[in-house]
Amino acid sequence: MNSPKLISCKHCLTVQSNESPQCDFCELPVRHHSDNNGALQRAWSFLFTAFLLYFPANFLPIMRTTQLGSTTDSTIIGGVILLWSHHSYLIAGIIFVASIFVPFAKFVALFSLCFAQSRILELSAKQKSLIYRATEFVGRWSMVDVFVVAFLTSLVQMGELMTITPGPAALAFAGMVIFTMLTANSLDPRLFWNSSHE
Amino acid sequence: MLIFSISALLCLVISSIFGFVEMSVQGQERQVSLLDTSSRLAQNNDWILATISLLVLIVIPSMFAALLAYLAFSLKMRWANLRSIKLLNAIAFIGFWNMCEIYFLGILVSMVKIASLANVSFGIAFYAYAFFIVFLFAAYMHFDRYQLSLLIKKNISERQHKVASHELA
Ligand SMILES: [Zn+2]
Repeated sequence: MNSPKLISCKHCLTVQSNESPQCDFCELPVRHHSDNNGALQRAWSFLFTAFLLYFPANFLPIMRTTQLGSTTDSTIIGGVILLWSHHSYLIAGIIFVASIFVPFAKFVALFSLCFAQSRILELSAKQKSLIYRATEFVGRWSMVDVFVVAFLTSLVQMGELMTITPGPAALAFAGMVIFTMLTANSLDPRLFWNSSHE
Repeated sequence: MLIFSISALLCLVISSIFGFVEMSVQGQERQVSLLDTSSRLAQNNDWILATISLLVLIVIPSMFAALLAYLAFSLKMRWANLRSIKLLNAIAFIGFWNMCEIYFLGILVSMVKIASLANVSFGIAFYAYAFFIVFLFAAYMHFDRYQLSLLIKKNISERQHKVASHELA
């Protein structure tokens, strides 16, 4: 089958022949396939950075509570266990899914997408698009724990009585989520369909 | 899209005027407004968290709502031109980084977490912010890049047609 080579402009979505570098309609550059390698390399480096941050984010304390002179450090997993023991099952569930399960699942998804685009792993275009959309939708929700720490720190500043300060994991966690979002952002979903036709 | 995004902006204004949440521990009271969340962090020298709070809670969502309102308004007035295509890009980019609803969930979780240690209550601004999120998403639901780019193209061709018929006459 010899179908004409078409591309949709990433700005105005006009479908056109992929020969000219500029869009026929909006005159903005249509991103071409030759960009593929640069984007993929960027995706890989963002993903590795995020993966390195995954460990401090989970094992260092995310929050430090000082109450009447005594200081307690809490990690993410510790926080889930504490909420569970206080019978806040819903909140414990939300934090578990958002902070522990989703980041892990997201790494599995992004690694498989990057492997597939580097032609190490075989995935159909449909599978890739599905994984991509799922990570794009769900990944950002892991920021919730960072926001909890940020908000509690700004609210609970009562001197000797009770003070909350962020721990080193808070920034590692924020960095991890941002770098996974950058990874997803540098993968061009249009390329999923491309490689499957060849 | 126009009505929703303007309602969203109004709610954001309301929520930055009034008190957001209140808490009291052993007679000590404390009220926090929306802007306080990041200024308190800055006072503590948590610059990065302060910046994240400011961007996520206020800067990004307000730009998001304002750009959606501007786009809807220019389509309504038939002003849309090739630059509006770039506006679509900008809105999609901001939409990607917009996380105010997640911060809102984080605030709810925080309140549950400290409910055992202190008395907490929500202010007017809290409810206004909830409505802000609802309106913002209602506006964003109408942000269909394909349909909007068709509308922009229609705007442009209508104007060209008008100019052409004017020249003929
Ligand atoms: Zn175009």
